[in-house]
Amino acid sequence: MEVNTKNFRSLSTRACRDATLRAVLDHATRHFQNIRKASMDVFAGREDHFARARAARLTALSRLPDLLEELEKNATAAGTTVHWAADAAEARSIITNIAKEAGAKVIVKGKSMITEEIGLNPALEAAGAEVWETDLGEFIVQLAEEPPSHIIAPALHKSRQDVVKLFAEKLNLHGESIPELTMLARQALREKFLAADMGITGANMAVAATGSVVLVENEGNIRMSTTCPRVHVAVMSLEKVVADMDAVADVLRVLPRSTTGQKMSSYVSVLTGPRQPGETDGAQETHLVILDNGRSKILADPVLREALACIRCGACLNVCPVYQTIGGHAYGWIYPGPIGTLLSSLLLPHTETRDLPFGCTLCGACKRTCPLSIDHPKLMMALRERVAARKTNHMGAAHALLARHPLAYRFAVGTARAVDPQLDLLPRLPGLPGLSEFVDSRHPPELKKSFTARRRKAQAKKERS
Amino acid sequence: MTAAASNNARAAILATLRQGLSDAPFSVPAPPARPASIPVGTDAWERLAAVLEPLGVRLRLAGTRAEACEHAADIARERQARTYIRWDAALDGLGLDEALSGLTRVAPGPCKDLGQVDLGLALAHGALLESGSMVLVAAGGRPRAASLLPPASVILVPKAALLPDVSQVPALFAQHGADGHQPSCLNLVTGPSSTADIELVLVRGVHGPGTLDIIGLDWDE
Repeated sequence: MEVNTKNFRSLSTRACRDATLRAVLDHATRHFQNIRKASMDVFAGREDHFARARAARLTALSRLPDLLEELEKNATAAGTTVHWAADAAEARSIITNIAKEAGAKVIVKGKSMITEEIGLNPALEAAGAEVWETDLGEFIVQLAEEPPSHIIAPALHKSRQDVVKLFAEKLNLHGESIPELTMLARQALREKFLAADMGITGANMAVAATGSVVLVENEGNIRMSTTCPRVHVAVMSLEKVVADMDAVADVLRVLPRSTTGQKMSSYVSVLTGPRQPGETDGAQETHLVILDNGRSKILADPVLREALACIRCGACLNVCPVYQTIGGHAYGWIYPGPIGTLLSSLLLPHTETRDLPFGCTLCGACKRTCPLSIDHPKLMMALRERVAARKTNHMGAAHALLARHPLAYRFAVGTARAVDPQLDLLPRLPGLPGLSEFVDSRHPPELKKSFTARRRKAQAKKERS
Repeated sequence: MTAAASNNARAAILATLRQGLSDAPFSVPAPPARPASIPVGTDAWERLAAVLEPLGVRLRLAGTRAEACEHAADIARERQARTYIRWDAALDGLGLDEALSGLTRVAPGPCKDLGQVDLGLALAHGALLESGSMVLVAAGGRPRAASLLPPASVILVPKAALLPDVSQVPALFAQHGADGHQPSCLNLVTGPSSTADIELVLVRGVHGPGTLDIIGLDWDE
């Protein structure tokens, strides 16, 4: 998808004014928070399970190159072809080549942020394949030609009426109630599953010790995409590897609960290589694409590499006051919310993401909610420091200078009070680039008269009375 | 992209990762011990029924093979099934085919041949009491499609398969490897297929089965 993070300010300003979006977000984020809280309240040994999941992920990061080699060795031994892609273009090229060699005409996809990240669908379509997103939410946003707006609920921003209209226009399928619409999607996509030559999924985890890919879902579309087509391609970002099945168990204890409040998602699949002799279903050809796309460099960063531990439960989005206000699309890329801000800032060129880390109140709700205790605010501050170090903000520097000298600060404020109390003339002064933006984004409280002046006025009033 | 390019990417990625860890090494403190699992006790079936109930799944207990077959026939009737697919060897001894003699049994095969099957029966290798998850390990005669394509799914759970929680899955996974190979597919199935992608309204049966019934085989093998 097109990267639009540069326009984060204007997109979020526009989103703030969208009352319908606000109502949808309010309902959805409260819903997710409530079901998560209900589950966590009765989760025995919760903190120990969180600590174990964090250790499983951080241990994997601390041994990342060794585990990736072990994964490659064991996946290959199980019959999976392993590919390495340095960036999105290489990953697209690898997967389109697999599709071409397999003669894939119809491709079904499970919900996967990583394939959104690399912009896979247009590449496959350009190669002549028919590509179907099969997660209901992803299917809806694919028909609407929109990006997903939440990590786990891609069509969060769409109402039932939107879906009624969309299905009628794009599929000539007519339904009214939500169960009816869901069944229509089932029928439409069932045909595609049965006709598909290739299934493409992401990976929640990949297991170094066994060469397996672990996929977590509720709908069954990922099971269909890996059971019916002849070829299965799993695309994983390199940090998704874990050491062994014990680490998988530790993460599974936490992930569904933190995502949707479920003790376990409806379906977890542990897939190891192609189908074995005697099996009548499952892919006959399996591929694993290990994607870097900028992540390997993050591992050298002692502060920011913590973001690579994320298990994509989406809980930080639901508690974030900024996400609750502006929704997912305003972030300008596929990863929204606190973790999205971190990932986008780390994966995209810094010139594209300058404003993102400033779209945060530093309230810490994300850190408190994260089952892995990722310290989003600390990471956000580190990103801000780097943004500030890269490009001098003259107005910010001038403000900081004044703030360090109380007399000069009072003089400046006094001048502003006398000449431009609402700060609406100052930004129009020529030759002061950045002033308008500086003033606009700060919304200082109305400048009051000085305490002395107000005291004098109050005394005069008292004397008059 | 050529194999050489993929090899180049591999070398570059691993070198960058190793350099990163060399420049900024880190160690991870040992985590706390995994909280003890609640053992499978004499109330295991009650616990399983209680955890399945909110998922819309009914547990039917059978004390004998004949009773298990009766349950299967009842479920087939309730779901108005006319065709069924089942796992082979694992379920051969139960006499299910006689109990379902009014239905047509469909042989395992490619998905496209199974799209219209009404009922699927499989056997759990594990049933996790904490979450209500059924562990299914696919192999020859144990098709993945049986618990996926039909709109109604039935999973039979031997008493010996009752396990406390997901921490037992690694051992189960290792146990089902054969000749040095890992099982090609292990599934945890926890309730029917579901979605809440439209206005967060829960709908069961979006791509997989809309109903799941469990038959507990309450006898010692």
